[in-house]
Amino acid sequence: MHIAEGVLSPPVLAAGYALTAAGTAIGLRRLDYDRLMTAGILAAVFFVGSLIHVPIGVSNAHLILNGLLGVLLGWAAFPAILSALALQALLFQYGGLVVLGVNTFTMGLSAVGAGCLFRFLHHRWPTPGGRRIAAFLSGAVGVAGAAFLTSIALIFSEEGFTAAASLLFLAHVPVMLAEGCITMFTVDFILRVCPEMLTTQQQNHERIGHA
Amino acid sequence: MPSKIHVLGAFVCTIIVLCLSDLAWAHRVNIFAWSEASDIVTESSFSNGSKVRHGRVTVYDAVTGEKLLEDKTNEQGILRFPAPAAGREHGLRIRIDAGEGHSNSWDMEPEDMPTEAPSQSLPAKTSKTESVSVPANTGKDSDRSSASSSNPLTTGPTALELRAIMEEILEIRLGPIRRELAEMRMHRPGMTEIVGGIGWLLGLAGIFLYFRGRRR
Repeated sequence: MHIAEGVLSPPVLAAGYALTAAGTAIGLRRLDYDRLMTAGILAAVFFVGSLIHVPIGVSNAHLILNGLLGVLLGWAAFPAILSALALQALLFQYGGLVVLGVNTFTMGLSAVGAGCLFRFLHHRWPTPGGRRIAAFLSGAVGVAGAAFLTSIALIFSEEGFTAAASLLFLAHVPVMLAEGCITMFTVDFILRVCPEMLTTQQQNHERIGHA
Repeated sequence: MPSKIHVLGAFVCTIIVLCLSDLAWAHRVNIFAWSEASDIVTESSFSNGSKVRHGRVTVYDAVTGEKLLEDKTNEQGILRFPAPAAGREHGLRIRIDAGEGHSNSWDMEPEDMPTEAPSQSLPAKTSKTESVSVPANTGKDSDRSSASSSNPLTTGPTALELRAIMEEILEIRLGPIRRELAEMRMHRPGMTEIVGGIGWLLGLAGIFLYFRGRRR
């Protein structure tokens, strides 16, 4: 899902950086002291996740894990993804620093969307089964959203939206399933071991206020 | 408690299986090029090893940026084209476009370009014909060598012809070595980069924690 350098036009690159800057600013403001290290660890997970391939059928694609970051971090997924992608660009030459803005935005916004979806579904069906389904769906939606936003970024390139979107979606169906499972297991595990990690910052403040 | 262990076990198993399945390099497209006789050969592959089939390769002059030629790779991800004369001075920039935002380029320095085979000698032409076995040329050159055989001092091919034949054989033999050298020039992430990156991210989080902690 990393767009390479030299594919996108300057206005698209500039828009990517502007949107990423906005997302990162919101993320940093919402990132409180207690969750900073969690964000750092999850950024490291995202950084390494791209090296893990899901081989299914003729194609294979790597994990993205942005849905998981969105569920666990909310808006704070933006700065985590930004720093992880910057290091991937510098150390692995995936993507590149010029397209860092666009790449962060496509993966970051879909992460935030996945996190919102999880909270909405979890609020609706607070049963263990409902929680598992919510986590699975948000893991898959994170990947699907990234594919969709990447295709939008490619509208203005030579390839066009429909061709890029259909190819990206087909190639990432196995990844969606894999990430759904990973998100489901991880969220399940965290809720049993350390449930306060999943409460939002607002809830934290409310809890502190009540105490 | 057993359920907790159960979930933890399932989680760890999933991660291990995924890691073992193929800890390979992520979807990045690579291109590398080397010279073979008077041709330039390019090979393009995705970072997981699969070849770029029918990917568009564009060749530019490295300095002026002028587009010199454009073609598609074959089923093995290989494209062979005669070295364009225009790029000989400045070198070439060869770009692969594999779709879905995957693209990469390879810079070919002027000294890596195929040498214009000894231009002063006529037999140099023979090295232009790609991968032709040596005996095939001797037929073509036989009339010339018969002409030279009139010289009482030389029998068999002249020094120039011999040089051309040697050069042609060398080019064929050196092709795979050049390919390997070009492949080695490609950057692949190793353990150092992976561990280093994790360290960077945790370190950054630590620095943030330190400053926020001081502000408190």
